[in-house]
Amino acid sequence: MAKSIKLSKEYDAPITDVWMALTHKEALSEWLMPCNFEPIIGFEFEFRTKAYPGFDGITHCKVLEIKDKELLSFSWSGGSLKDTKVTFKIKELPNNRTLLDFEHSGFEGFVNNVIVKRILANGWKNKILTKYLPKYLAK
Amino acid sequence: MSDVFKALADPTRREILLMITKQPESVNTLAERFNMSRPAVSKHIKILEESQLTKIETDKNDGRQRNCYAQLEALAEVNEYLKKLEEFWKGRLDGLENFLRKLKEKKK
Repeated sequence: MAKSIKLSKEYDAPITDVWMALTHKEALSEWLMPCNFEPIIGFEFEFRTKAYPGFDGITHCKVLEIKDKELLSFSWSGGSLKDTKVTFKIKELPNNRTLLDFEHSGFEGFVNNVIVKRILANGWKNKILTKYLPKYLAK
Repeated sequence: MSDVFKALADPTRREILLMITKQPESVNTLAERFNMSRPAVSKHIKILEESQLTKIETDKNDGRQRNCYAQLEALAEVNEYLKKLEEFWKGRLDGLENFLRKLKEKKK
C-alpha cells in the first residue's frame, strides 16, 4: 500500500509562472479549488468545494514551508483526512520548462481510523465504544 | 474478535501493523526495526494474528523466513480512498497545465 501519493509532471512554462500559479490565491483558486491562501508560513486557510455525504466540502490547511521558486508545503485536513501534508517541489529545466514533484503524505492516522472503524463495524459492545475507545483515541 | 481491541490498543502493535500495510516484512526485520528481541516481536505478531489483522506466511524462496502480512480486506477502504485521491490530484495537475498554457497565451 502506498505510503504517500507521488506524482511528477513537466510543464511547458518557466519556473516563475509555475511558482506564481502555486502561490497566488487567484491562481490556486482557478486550477485547484477556491481558497483564501496567502504565502506566509503558519497561515491558515481553506479550500472550498462541493459538499457530499461525509465531507462538508471544506479542506483546512496551514502553510508549513515556503522556499522561493523551489518548494511549497501545507497541511491538509478535510473529510476523512487529518493532518496530512501536501508538498509541491519545482525545478527549472532547459527551454523554459519546469518539473513539478508533487507529494501527498501522512495517511497513517487515516489508515489507523479505518482499522478502528472496521473493528467497530464488526459488532462491538457499547461498553467498548463508550468506555475504551475514547481512551484509545485520546492517546 | 475479542482480542482486536487489545491488539490495537498497544502502540507498538499499531506501528507494526502500519508498517506492514505498506509492505510485508519478515519477523526478523520487524525485530530490528523496533529494536526488540525476536520473541518479543513474535508475541506482538501473534496477538495481531489472533485478531485477524495480520497473517504469517513462510517465504517462498527461503523456508526459514516468516513474513508478516496485513490483512488487506480490512484495508480495502483505504486503498479505494487513496486511489480516488490520486485521481483527484492527477486531474488538478492537468488543470495546472491548462492554467499555465492560458497564462502564456495572455502574455503573447
